[in-house]
Amino acid sequence: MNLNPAATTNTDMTTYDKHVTDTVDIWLDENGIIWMVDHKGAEERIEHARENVATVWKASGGIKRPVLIDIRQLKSITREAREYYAGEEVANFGSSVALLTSSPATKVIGNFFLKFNKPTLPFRIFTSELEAVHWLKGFI
Amino acid sequence: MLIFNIASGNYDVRGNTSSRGDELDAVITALNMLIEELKAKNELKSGSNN
Repeated sequence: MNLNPAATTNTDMTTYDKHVTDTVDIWLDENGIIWMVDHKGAEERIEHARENVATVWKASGGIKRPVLIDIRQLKSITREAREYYAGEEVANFGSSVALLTSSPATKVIGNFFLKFNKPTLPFRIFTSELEAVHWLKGFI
Repeated sequence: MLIFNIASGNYDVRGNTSSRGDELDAVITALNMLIEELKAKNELKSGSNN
């Protein structure tokens, strides 16, 4: 099941205000969840992380919300960017984070982030969009 | 080769991954991230010894 509203036919004509940065697309869905979806082959560095977090805050309307980060198309991320995403500044912008992975390489990135960078927000890794959204709804 | 560079203390090298994201890419990705961690810890250690 694909819950990604940007990837499905929008039958109720709801419009999602999609923000596009150098590495990700970001939008707020009807559940109050922020989606941050990596572009194909994205290579995230610290400047991208800062831009993405600022854009998440803009898309969330200045409210701490659960965030679904879809890294299924991410190619790489630097240590500085990982540290930034795991840091206190980001903890002020979100209530929880679900990381969506698929390939062995993205699973490695997710697990590495969890074990080495130790995010301070409630954080879980998923391979199912449905399960990720279900878990995040508990933080709305 | 990546492994030999790491063993020699050269933490400026990185392995190239493909767009497949398969098991081989997972190993290279993990090695690249470990190199970054080693480099950062090494720099921290060098700094505290000065």
